[in-house]
Amino acid sequence: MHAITAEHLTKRYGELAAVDDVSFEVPAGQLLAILGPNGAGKTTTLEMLEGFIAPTAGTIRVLGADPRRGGRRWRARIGLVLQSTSLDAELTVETTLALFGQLYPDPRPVRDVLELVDLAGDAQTRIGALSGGQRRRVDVAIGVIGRPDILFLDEPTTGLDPQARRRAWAGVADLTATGTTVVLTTHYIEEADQLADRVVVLAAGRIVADATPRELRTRGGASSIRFPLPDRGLAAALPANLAGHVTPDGRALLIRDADVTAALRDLLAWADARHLDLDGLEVGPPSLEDAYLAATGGSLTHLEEGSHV
Amino acid sequence: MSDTTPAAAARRPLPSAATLLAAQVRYQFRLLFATPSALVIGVGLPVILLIAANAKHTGAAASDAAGYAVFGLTMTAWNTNGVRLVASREQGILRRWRAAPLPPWCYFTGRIVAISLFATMAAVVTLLTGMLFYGIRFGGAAWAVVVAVLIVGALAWAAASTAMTSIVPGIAAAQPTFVLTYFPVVLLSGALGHLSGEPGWLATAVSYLPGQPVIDTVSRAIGHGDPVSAHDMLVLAAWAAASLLIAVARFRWEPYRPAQHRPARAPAPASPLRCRCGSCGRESLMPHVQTVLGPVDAGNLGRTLMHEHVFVLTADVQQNYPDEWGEEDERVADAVRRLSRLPEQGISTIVDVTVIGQGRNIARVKRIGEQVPGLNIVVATGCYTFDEVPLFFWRRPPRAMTELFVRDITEGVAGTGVRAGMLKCAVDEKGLTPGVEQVLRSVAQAHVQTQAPVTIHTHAASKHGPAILQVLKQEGADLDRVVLGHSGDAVTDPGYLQEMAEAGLTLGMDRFGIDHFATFEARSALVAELCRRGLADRMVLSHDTCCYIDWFAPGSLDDLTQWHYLHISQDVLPYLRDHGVTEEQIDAMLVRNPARILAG
Repeated sequence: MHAITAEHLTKRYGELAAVDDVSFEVPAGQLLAILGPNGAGKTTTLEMLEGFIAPTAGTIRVLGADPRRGGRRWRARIGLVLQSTSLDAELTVETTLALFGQLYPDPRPVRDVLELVDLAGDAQTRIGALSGGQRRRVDVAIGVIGRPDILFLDEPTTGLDPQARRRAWAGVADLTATGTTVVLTTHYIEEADQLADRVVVLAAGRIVADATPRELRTRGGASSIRFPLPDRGLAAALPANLAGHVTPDGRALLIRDADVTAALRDLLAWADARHLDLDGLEVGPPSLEDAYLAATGGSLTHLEEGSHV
Repeated sequence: MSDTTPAAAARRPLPSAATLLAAQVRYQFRLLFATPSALVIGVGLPVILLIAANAKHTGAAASDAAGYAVFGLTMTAWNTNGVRLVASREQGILRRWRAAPLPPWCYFTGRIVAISLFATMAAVVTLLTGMLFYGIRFGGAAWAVVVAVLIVGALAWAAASTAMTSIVPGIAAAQPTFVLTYFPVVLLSGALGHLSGEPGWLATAVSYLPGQPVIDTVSRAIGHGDPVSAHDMLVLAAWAAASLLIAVARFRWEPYRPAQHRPARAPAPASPLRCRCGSCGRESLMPHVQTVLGPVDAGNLGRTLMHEHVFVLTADVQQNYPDEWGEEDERVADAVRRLSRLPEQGISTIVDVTVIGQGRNIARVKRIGEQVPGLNIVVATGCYTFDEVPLFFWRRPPRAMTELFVRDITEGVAGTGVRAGMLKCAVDEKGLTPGVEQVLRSVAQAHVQTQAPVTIHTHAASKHGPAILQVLKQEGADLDRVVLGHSGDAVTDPGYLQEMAEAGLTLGMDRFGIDHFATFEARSALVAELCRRGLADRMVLSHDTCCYIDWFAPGSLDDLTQWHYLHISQDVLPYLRDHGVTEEQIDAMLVRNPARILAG
């Protein structure tokens, strides 16, 4: 059973299909990341799930209901962190959270929520005196204060500094651990990689990939070997199958391939024969980034395989 | 019913609508007391009028006090309420409330009730001032009538102004709209002195507007102890009810966005594989970037230097004193020789940010580009000035400049067929002078229209970043596509750069080799430090060098031995690697960030 089901979801603005025949499901308790470049249709998709805009075609079920007819009880089970909202600058953080908490049947205590978003020290600060990143955290606090069954996060960490972003990820991970279903949009690949059970990649309104981060990686990405050559003369002495991978400046060997086992074996044998230390050798897993770039713009045959819409 | 585990919360009752409404009223009431202008209009203004009237004809009449009290009441309920509501909507506050499990009517009814109570209190204060200082006397029964009609009157005006906000497009239009609709009604109603010469039909019409019934009831109650007239109360109740109905049906939650801030995107592609630029018609999912040799897929740009020049010239000086420049063919051959070494060092793209004011000559750059096939050259449009606009633009409307930029991007430059792939302007030490601001706005507008990225020459030590940001935001620019150029000169101030990066701009660490402003080590250490702070995805690297520049006497730059196109590849990258910068971060600064900025 699924917390969210979207089937053939389409939103047209005149000629433009902002979202074009998109289908996916989110099982309860999972975290889905919707990843894509600006203008790919991420926010439009989210706003249809949230019930703010009506799809041109297709059906949506969120917690068993059509979001356009959800009603107050349904909405009380949904937590939202939208883009470009703001709060009255004159009130304190604590007052604001208490105000929103009153709307729910069983709100989290304001103290707990402040701890969760790391703002306990700013309870008495007026909203207007907070930095952009801190305001974003208040948005997140409001999103979770009602103990939502589903939390929608539209680019929740945009504008946060790297440390705050990491803490926000930890907070989201805690929520999913307690069974909250989360849908977030992001253009930080790392964010999707860290948090998501599944990643849907959108480009120009269409799904170009729907997979786990791990599947995506193995599908599109290549592993890498990096070995800084102790001196430039060594490049000439490399076996032929490795020599082609020397970087243009002659200072390193850099190999990217779906399977680097053979190359690694050859490199080890070669180094062993020359009694070379392998200081600085790095072997990296395929990166989600490569997979993402491949999905949003790489080879087309790959995309056809990758997408199951 | 539900597909998920039913949470305990789902079984608890929701708070009742009455509880929610009471909470909203309290909240809005509190906000009003934190808004000084609301107090000034509701209490300050009427009391000043009362004092002035008293000074004019000693002993203000009861009708004066009544008029001023109602003036404050209606001004608050109509104007203050309407303008604040539009402001909240434009800031996105209403958008946040709509997302909460609060019945929509509860939100704006809360606002209407709160402002009505506030306006009534203000009017009562005015009347009390009249009693205390100017000898106006009336009894308890009159007070009951007065307070009742004030509350109902305020509700009618506040509901009407709430309904009215749905047709007010933005905050700039709010004040004039509310003021211009307010004063005719309130003056004709006699709030600031009774009229006597108006024609009969007008007097009848005014008696059906919500102003006169309040004023007449209050002044009759004060003056003669008269009760409320049914006609007056019915008029007010009808206004309140009709306005509420309109507000429920038409209330607008989303900020108003003028059409020009949302440039029309290309029509829906016939297949998802057609390029989204809408003009080239190529079959590609990958966004592309324009170079002197035509479009290139963003994924194929490779290592990119985001801020370089081929030649920087003073065009009309060159036309008249061409000796130093010498032979065109030799200069071109020299440039081909220098640029050909870039691909050998792993650099496959440069952005030539030479624009108007720097002797841009795209035909010449194209000729060079054709002879360096391994290097993509992206060219720019824009205008380089530290103060006034060039005289060419002096007496033309500002849009003339924007139009030229847009033409360079969408049609190509000067008949070469080469399209500009970047916009550029300069904000130097003098900051946003009127001329510089005009160019910045033109560049931002061309960017919004065409989605071409932007780079801005800055004088890092003067920290004009925040002022630039403000203009960019006003123009609706996509900050993710804007480079704050020459940020790398701010070697002593990483905090400023971090702020700018966190605001969404990309930092141009783009003068490697110009040791006059900062040494190689200082520049490199700054990049390493910002990488440590997690900002590798907010930096791009470059030299800002060229093959020839006529802004300096020959030989005077000879001490800049490392100011050439290969310095980053040969010296800076090894330094960065030795100082903890990872390959992944270098890749971000040289490959991914440029691709993101150039292609969107």
